[in-house]
Amino acid sequence: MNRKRFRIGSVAILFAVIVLCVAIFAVLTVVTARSDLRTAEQYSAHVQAIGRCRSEANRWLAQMDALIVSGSLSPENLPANTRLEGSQISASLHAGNVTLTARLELLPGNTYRITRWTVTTDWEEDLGGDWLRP
Amino acid sequence: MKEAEQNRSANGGLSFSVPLLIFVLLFVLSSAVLVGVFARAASISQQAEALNDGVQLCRNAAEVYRSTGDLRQTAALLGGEPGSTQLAYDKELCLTTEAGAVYLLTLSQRVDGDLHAGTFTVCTAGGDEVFTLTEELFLPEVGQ
Repeated sequence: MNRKRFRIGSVAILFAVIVLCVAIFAVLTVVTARSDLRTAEQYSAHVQAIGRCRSEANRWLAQMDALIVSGSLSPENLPANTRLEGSQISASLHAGNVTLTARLELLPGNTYRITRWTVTTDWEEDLGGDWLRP
Repeated sequence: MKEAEQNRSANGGLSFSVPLLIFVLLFVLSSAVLVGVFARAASISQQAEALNDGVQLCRNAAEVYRSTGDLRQTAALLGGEPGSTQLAYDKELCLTTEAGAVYLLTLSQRVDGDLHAGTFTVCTAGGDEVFTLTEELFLPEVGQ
């Protein structure tokens, strides 16, 4: 009897290997994409924190301007986080991990000058290990 | 005799085609799952790209607003018509018409005494909000 037998064993193994390789690529692609999204979210949160901090500092400056120009500046009516030392008024304003330090120098005639306006970020080293986190 | 041979032949064909069918079915199923995984990865990548673009557009507009303190000038410096409240950008973040827009940047301003608050919102052309940034400025009137 002359019967042809088709062996699918080798073909099955070949396809299984191909599917396995593609599956590994697929998982790596998802992990990379999630990592990109996480980085983008962290960056956007940082930009928003800087914006919030600057806005808060401008509101603080508006308050201080009103007090100084009206001549009613005294340690009692200073806003929170504000220190008056001699002719220097300073404040540290926080939003997220961003800190804005502002300092004003009082000048004669109910005027002032901004002598410091710096934004700093508290930074912690990311040692990884959570790259699979969704 | 001939009938028995035909039955055997039919059984042989069936026994050959069942594992082949299972194999093809498994392959199709695994392919479908993998296509789904790749599609999900593409969707996440697109989301990340849109967020990055949105942040860049908002940040750029906010920086211009900080330097001018005026929404009209901000729109003009960003390349739009002075006073326009919506700017359209393509995928390369170049200014374009609304018809070819991928992102829409909306500019708005609220003035409360000497405090000027500019809000910048980026939406996709489909209307999904991507990012919003608010920049408040203290701008005392000249001579005050």
